[in-house]
Amino acid sequence: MAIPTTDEIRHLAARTGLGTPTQSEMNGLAGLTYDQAMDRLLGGFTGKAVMAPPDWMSVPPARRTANMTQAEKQAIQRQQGANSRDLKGWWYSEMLNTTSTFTESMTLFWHNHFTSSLKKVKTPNLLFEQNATLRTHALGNFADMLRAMTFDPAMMKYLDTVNSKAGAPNENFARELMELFTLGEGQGYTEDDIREAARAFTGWGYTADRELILRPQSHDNDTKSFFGRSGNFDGNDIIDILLEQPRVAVHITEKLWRHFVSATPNSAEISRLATLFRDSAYELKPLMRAMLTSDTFRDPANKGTLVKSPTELVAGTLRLVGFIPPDPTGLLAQGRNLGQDLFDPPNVKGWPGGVNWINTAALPARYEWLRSISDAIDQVTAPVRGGVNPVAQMSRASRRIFGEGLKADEAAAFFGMPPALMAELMLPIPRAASPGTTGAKNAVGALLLDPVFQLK
Amino acid sequence: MQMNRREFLTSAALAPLVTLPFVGSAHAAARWDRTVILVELSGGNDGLNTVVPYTDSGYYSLRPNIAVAKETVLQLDERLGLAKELEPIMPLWNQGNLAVALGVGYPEPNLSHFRGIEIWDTATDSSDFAQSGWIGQLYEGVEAPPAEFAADGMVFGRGVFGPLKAPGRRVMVLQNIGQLDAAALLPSIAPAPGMEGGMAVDPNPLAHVLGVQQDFKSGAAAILAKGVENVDAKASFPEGNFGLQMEMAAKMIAGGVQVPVIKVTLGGFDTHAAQLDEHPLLHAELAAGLRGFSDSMKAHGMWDDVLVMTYAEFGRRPKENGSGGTDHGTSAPHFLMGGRVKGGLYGEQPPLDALVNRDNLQHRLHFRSLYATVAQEWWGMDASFLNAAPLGAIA
Repeated sequence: MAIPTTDEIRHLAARTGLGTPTQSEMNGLAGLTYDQAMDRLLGGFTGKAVMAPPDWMSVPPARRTANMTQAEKQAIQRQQGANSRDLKGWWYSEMLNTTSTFTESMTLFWHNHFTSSLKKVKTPNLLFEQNATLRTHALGNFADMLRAMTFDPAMMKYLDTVNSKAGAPNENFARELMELFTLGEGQGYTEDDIREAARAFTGWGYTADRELILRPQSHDNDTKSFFGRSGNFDGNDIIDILLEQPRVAVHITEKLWRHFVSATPNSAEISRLATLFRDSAYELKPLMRAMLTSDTFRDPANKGTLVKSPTELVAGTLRLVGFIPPDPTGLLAQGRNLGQDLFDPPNVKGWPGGVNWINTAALPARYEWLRSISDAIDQVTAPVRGGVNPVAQMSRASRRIFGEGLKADEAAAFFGMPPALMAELMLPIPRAASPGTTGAKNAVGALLLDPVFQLK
Repeated sequence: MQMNRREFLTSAALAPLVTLPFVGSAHAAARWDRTVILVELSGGNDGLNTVVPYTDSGYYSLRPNIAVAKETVLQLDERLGLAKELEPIMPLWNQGNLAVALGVGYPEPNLSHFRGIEIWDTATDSSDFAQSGWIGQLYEGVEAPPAEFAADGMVFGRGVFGPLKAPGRRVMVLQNIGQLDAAALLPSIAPAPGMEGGMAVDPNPLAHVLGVQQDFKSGAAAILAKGVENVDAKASFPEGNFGLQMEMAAKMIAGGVQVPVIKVTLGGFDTHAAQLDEHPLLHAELAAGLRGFSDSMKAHGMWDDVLVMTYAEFGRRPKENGSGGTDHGTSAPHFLMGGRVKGGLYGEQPPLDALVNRDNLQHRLHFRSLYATVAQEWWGMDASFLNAAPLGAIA
């Protein structure tokens, strides 16, 4: 079997990872056939984070109660604010340190599908647990993930399942379940289906230990009619009936296609892949393998046709140059400035993504951040005085800028590359700007500030 | 002939997209000296707790827990009153500069947030689709703003183009005025031949990046040339992002920046639960921001040059749910305000004893009538493509 060109492997690694592969990731895939590289990437999935949970996860989250003083309530709010920042920083750390960027890329995808927001959920513990659940299923089984998310405490709070009572159900979850999570807007369900499903989801809640409970007195135990069937359905039954609809596989496949392959879905391909997805009982690995080995994905013209998300830009760039800030909370403001505040999507549909990431507010903010990296590189790679080990020198200089954050082996591998190879590693297609016009003082910076670096 | 990027796109690439019947007109030039501020109430504002039918016992029986108390409303007439948190805009009502359009909606309403706002943004029928927003369609089909304008439109806050979405349009998204300084650092990179992109919805991402880069540089230069960062708004604005957006809008206009449309957003109106905790705060923030803007425009003698209009994807269900909130509904009231606005009530309040479409409010006024008011009465443009009568609300 033919060994693919480095270009093809780079495309695969960039799209499955965080937008830009690192030199060591590329080395790890060197000499493999395309299928072997695919195996390696899928095989790297563990479903677990490499970073330890934040300390506060070992303590039950404080709950506001009616008899608390104002000061006590404010203290809880302050703690939640601090833990929220910590939570966002934790995920950046995970992305910067993981051995499987595919896992993080998939988890980011699902975070933008099964959305929940700190602004409404408020308790960071619940969002941490949701993130862990998404990571567990990220390349596992979609049906399992859908069931887990339906009864995930953060989701139940975000879309008001916990508040939904028999007699006057809350429709929030039932609507988005069909519109966003399974079928797609206007795809074969009716307003009556939403109302009936909402009845089935009444009475569910969770305990202080985040155990799922069904409160009999709040649950609607009468007959519901859903998708032409009748019965005393509960939430599990609704999910089962939805998973029988062929449209679910089409909706999920198309969304994955837009994220990983192309902003323009190819209907014949979507149909082929959705059938495969359904036939495999919603297993994600066979679907992703088929999608990423498709002719459309591998078409050379498909390189550089997607826009990196803010998170991919920030995490992928730092991994590339080997600068891993030990305190990642500084990155949160970056994500927010660039338009993606993790754990706080703009609404239940998530970030629109694609070319929508780039507008006159976000693009200058992207360049500004990349320029700061370019300036840091100037300092870190300043000429070495005689006899000093370049990596040692870089470590010293980077410590001033990034604390203890230099990944020496990664940085050495990267900065030791000939400039021509650097361009091939960093950019999906040839550069659009001549280096002198970017304002960067070094060769890496000129590539970071090239418009093509925004693409994957 | 040399075409700029925008002309190229509007003349060639757009032709197949346009499905609405435009009538080429011999109209006088549009009044581009007038600005519209579009205020999106994102999430779907609860109209019944905004313009309250305070004498209707049906209202109180549908909402035993979350109704606005009769004695607190700010009366507009003998049947309707504003929630008390909207008090900052009552002087505008008393001055005859606030129009309240009642029962605004459309046939076969869609209760999805996302499809709902798409219908409003593109001004289509419920079952039709269009690529461009209604302002974009107006520019394409009737008349586009002058090329020397700083932008074809501005979007403050999160960069959702909505009504302004259209290929080739120069839309400036801004979070704050300080961001404009970054323009000096950006190089101009001419797009390669065949890659003349349009920033708003160009499907080619590299062309899109280069188009945005170019539009940012030219837009920022035009704005900075007016010294906007040093303009005194001469009014106070509420804390938070919405107040910041309204203040920026005031500074742009007071500073003389030429732009026909500024879109701002206040989010959080999706009040499915515990509505009494959130909705009054949103009203207070909305009203304080609108008031700050009107104060500023008046202080600068520009109140007659601006028109503010609210809109949202839908209103909410008349009957409260069991979580102290309201689910997605249909029609709702909206506000128009400005020095040339003829204040008063337009349309009519949908009756609570004649709910339709599974317990929802009828609509009494098509939202396209609001758009026709902007296009025809405010800008003096041919609005026939909207197929709706303007309100007659502009003096």
